[in-house]
Amino acid sequence: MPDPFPPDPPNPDELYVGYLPVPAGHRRFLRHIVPAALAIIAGTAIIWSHTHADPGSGRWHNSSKVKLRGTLYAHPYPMIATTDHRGKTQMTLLVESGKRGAAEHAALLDRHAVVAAGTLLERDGPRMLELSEGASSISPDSSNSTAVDAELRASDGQVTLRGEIVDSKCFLGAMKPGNGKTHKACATLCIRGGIPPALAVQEDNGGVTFYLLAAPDGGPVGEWIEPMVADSVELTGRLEQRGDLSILRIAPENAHRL
Amino acid sequence: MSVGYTAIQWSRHKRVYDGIAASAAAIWMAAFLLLGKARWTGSHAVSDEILLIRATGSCAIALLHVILVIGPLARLNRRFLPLLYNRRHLGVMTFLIALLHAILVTGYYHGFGVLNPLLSLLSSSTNFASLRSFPFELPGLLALIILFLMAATSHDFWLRNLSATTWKRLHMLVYAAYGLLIAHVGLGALQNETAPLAPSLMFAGVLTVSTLHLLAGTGEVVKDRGSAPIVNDNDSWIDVGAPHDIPLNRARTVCASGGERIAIFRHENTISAVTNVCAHQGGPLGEGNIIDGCITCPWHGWQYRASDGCSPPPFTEKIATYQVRIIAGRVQVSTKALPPGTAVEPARIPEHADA
Ligand code: HEM
Ligand code: FES
Repeated sequence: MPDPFPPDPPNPDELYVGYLPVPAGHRRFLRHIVPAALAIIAGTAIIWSHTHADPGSGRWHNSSKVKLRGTLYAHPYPMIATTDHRGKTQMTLLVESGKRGAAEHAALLDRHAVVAAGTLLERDGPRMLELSEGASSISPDSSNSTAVDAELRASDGQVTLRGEIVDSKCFLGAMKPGNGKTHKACATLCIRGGIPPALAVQEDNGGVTFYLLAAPDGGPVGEWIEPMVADSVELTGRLEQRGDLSILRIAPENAHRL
Repeated sequence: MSVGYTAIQWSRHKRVYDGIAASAAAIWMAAFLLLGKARWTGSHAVSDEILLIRATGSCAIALLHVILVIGPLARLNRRFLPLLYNRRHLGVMTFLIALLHAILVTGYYHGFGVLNPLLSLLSSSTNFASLRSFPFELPGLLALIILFLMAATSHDFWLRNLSATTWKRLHMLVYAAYGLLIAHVGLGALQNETAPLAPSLMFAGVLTVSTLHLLAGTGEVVKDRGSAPIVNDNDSWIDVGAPHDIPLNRARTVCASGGERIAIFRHENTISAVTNVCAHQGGPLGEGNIIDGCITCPWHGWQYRASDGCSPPPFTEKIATYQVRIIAGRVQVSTKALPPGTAVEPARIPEHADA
């Protein structure tokens, strides 16, 4: 069998010219080199496709619509308190579709009994409801038997936490992965649009703890948080609890990029 | 370009080439998407949109690597030249896949929000001082613009209208695009990585591209030095060697003191000299052959008559010619380029000069 890879110049009188028939030597060479190149390309794609990191366990049940009955709390970000089947108070953040928060929608209903319709997102505990389109997706609940008391319980003293600032909607399952450097631009846009920012803290056991962020006065955090999104940060503030949701109140001067 | 030109053969090669290139892209996308879906499943599955964004981005940069290694490979071994022939189609394909990547990113990461997606793309982060939060999308956007300019001007129409030098300069920007894309991936996707696999892959790519360019570049320099000719007559004539040192129907290339390369061809029993630089895209004519009596460029087959540097009719391209003479059994070439298309009497090899 002739050597398919003869030294160069193989046969110097053979010149490949695109509009003339391919010389025999070139033809032989191409028959080996083209499949080899395709194999290298396929191999690289296979290796590369193994680099996806675990995007976490967030889930968006976007094919099944649910109705939640409970008490609405508008601050720092809209959320609804409901009671689960064991009588425990469960908090669910409320957002609009797309990258928009529900603050406007909820402003007049603070501490009212409401019924809210939409689809659920959840990630190991923390939950969110994406409201269905239209004004009627959230409305006062006249039956009034559903009032759930979820007043704030403040801890005393300051805590310091290290983690990543995420937009809660993508992080809880709207996008997989919904955090990290490649998600920074999207998260910034979400937070600009009123999606509640949160701190995701990586625990030693592999789990992730979720802290909703608030301003020191209990209102929404403010625009100063936007440049810090997706970076590693250290936040110091006061921790409080509403139902099963942890909320960290922070001031800009107590937030540092690591 | 040749007297033997027929449209059917011409397009058949290109069709085969494009078919292979398209299958390479299809293999990449299929492998990437299928394995990506299998890698994490159930509640841990990666979003389809993100898989597509990654598949198109990675496919485009893989094709760019192929484009970048073909040049030096063809320099190192002429048998890679068929891959060079239609490389511009590969370039256009790379641009289109990269464009799809950018459209998907803009729609998915920058859509659905309170800002215009393009505005969001340009303003999402302005933290240029920090490597950690540098807006890696911007180098990607710049690279995409370069790929667009190259794809849009890839047709010979533009080559003619932009002048070969401008066109060549424009197309050298591919290296700028490559650098920008290394930044795009290094400051973007790689910052999410904790495992060494992805950085190693990128390192291997950069290493392959730069090693091949270095090897091919050193080869050229050695060739230039190896042919360093004896200079006589006030630098205006240089020695090329005995007539039969030049292979029949091929050339020896010498480098004049000004740095320009001259290709000296032997055809039948005559010697003629032309510039080494093809009027098309600057291909090395001295590495071509004489086919049908014409000097034929190894890159895309443009042809010139050895006697006057003109393309045979109906073509009108012209290249510079040089005077040649044979003195005492040695070929000498003048270092003064004559205006493109100047007819020069070829030097006849005397009968007794046979080695
Ligand atoms: C306007 C232009 C561009 C924008 C906005 C952009 C944006 C992005 C974004 C957001 C990611 C992260 C995707 C993710 O993992 O979720 C990414 C990754 C990537 N981009 Fe681009 N890009 C642009 C142009 C390009 C071009 C021109 C190329 C190549 C020719 C390219 C190649 C890549 C590669 C290889 C990745 C890494 C994919 C992976 O993680 O496996 N990008 N780009
Ligand atoms: S460079 Fe294209 S034919 Fe010479």
